[in-house]
Amino acid sequence: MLELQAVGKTFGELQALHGIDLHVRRGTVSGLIGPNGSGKTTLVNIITGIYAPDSGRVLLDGKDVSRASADQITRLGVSRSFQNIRIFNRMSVLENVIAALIGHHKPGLATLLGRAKRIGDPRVTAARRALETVGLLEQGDLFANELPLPLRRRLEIARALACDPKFLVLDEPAGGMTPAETASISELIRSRIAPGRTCVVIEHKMDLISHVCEHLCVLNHGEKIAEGDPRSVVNQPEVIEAYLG
Amino acid sequence: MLNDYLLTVISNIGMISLIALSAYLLLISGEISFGQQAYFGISAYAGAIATTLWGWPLWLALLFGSSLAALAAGFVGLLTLRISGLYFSIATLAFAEMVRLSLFKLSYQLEIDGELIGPNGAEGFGEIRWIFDNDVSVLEYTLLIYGILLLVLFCLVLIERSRLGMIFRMLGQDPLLTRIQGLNPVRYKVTAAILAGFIAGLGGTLYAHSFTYIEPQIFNVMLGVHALAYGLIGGLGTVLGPLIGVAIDIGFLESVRVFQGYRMIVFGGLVAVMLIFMPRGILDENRVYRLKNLAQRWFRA
Amino acid sequence: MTDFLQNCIDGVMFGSGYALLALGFTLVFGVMKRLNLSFGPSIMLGAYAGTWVYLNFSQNVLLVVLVTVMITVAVGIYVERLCFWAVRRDATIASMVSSFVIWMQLEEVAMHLLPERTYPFPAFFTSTVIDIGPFFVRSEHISMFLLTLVLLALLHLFLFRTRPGLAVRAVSDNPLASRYMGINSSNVLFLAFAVVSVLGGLAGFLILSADSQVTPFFGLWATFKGLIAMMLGGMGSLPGAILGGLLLGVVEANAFWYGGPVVRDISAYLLLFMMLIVRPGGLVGQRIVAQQQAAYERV
Repeated sequence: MLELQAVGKTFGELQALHGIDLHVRRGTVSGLIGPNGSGKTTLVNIITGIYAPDSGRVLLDGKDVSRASADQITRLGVSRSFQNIRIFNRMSVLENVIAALIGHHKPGLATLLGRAKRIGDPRVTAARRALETVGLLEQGDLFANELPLPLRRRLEIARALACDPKFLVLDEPAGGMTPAETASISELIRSRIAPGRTCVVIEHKMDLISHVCEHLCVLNHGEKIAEGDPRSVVNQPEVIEAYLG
Repeated sequence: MLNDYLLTVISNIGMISLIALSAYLLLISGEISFGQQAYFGISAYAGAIATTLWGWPLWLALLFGSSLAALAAGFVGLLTLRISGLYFSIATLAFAEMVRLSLFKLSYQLEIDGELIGPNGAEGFGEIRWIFDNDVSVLEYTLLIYGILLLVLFCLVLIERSRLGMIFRMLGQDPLLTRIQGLNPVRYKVTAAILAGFIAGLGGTLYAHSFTYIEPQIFNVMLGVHALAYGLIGGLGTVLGPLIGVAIDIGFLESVRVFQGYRMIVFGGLVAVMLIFMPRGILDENRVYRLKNLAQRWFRA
Repeated sequence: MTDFLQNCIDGVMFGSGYALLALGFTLVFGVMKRLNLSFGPSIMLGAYAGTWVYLNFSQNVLLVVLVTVMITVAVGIYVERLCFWAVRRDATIASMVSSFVIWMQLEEVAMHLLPERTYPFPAFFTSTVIDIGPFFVRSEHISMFLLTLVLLALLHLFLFRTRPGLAVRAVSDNPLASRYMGINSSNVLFLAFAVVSVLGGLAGFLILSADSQVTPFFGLWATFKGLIAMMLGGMGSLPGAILGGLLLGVVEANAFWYGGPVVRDISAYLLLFMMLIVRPGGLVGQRIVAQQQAAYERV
């Protein structure tokens, strides 16, 4: 499904990633962990086309997308959420999700000029369904900036989910949440989102990772230091050292 | 009865509303254009040349002038919108000044009925006689202006409710997030710039035929300031915003004689203070949304 | 060839004034990532106040300089407080449009102060022509050039050798990080406006006294030249602002020599649009554009 071959990226003096190889198999949920500044978000930004890698290749279904722009990659069926929540603040919750459904196929003139919130429009239906999945349907008519933080994370997930992506990247879906909220998000991912989808989840919280991921990859200082089954990986000495040292 | 002076003021409001709407369309897409006066001016000259020198009918001249304006707007947009919004802002300002200076050099005169007619640099372009030649009264012309304004408003309302309008608003809030939704921001920003250029252009040709005389100096920065300020005073939440802005300025400030000679001091200060408390105007997105909800509930009850 | 070189010399001399204006825009842009369109008009109001003192009170040139700079700083701070400090941090559009309407306000105030179309502006040095080999230089141009160099050196000292200067650089580099470091960005903004206004006031004085007259178009003129020079160099770059100013000066001097005043004015805009097509980030700006893009898209 997704394959990274020797991907490297530098920002000025800082080498954020060196030679990362990664393989995400279709239909699996992979975890990506690592201390702050280890290059997780940079990696996600490269996968989703926000940055172009300086070296190496990114393959999506065998197709080289290293130079593709973020909007092209989205149209190939990749969607994501953001670590520091990004939503459209001056739109309603429902509109936020509809927004994700306009561009996921290149819209033609008829699509563009059609009414965004027409009742019965398949996009509106899909948006409602996505909101229902994450449990936000009742708040659909609120202005997005009126939502409390945990619900904003859910809105981001709903938006990423709405266009039924082939490949989903969740960047700290439980960031800033209480243990109870984390547990509820992790159950949501496991039971409603993961089935039938390929996902990459970035997270610090080990209970979420061990609950949802089948495969785990650990980054430190821009390098992959361990990979494999979650339970065995977290007990490797390099991983423990990276987190404690 | 409506006298001609009052009608001129009213038609003036209509034409200025068009340029205010064009600036508004860019503002909601998150772009500031300091140079909508350029497209107003280009179309004023082009439209007037078309009717006066080439004998075209007004509707064709309107279309011609506005299309030319839209073309110019698309050119500036394509050049700068791929870099960053601030480049667009400065480039629009520079382009507007370049157009104004070029109009000072524009001389294109033909002999019509034994008289040399046409734009002649700093002397301007007079004898735009379409109104007189076609026996159009001031009242009729004012109605024409308002007809076109209503048509533009109607189209803008449709756009606001459409997916395209939603994309414009998305761009105004977070261009990167818009890109992540699979939409190429440059494409839609340029679209917004072209549409805005066209709308400003409609105002321009109408203006030239209403005043029958134009000169480069009319299309200076001052016009652009007003176009921008109207949208921001009235509010960026609805197309009515710019109209409210125009009404406040021309309807209120213009009529209070005390401000004569101190108009910009008062207007500038007023706008600056308002923007502190209402950075997106009186009817901003949040208030419009609440009003809409209220209205819906009221209708259901 | 001699003509061309002579034009280049004149261009560099005059371009140094553009460079000062561009530095003003670039510094403020760096700190707040917004444009202050009122910069030119604030300088004009300062210069008008200076002229007013010169015409009504005293022929003392130093006093005129002092008044020009002081009023420019006062107006600069007025603009900073009203259009940038008081406006919400996330309301970029509001503050830029606000500075645009204040431009008109300042122009009207200036027109009430001195309503005629032109006024004489005091010269700092008496005008003589100095011969250097086959070339000649006007003394007021060379003094403007030298004073600009002195100002640049002082600005460099301020930015790179003092603590407040360090704070200004830190905020323009990374506002978020500097906030965590305990730098008060509101103070830095105030400071940047004050410094830039001193710079602008002096630049305005130098340019106007080389021209020996002041007109109501000066505000527009100064804003345009500063913005264009900044964009030619690359937005937010200090060396870029200097290079852009000099380039603009040289191109304008040549355009004036070969084509006249209107060609000179249009050449500045054409240069800008050509730069946008060929090298959109400006002379040294490519890297900076990339950085800004990264900062702006930081996710």
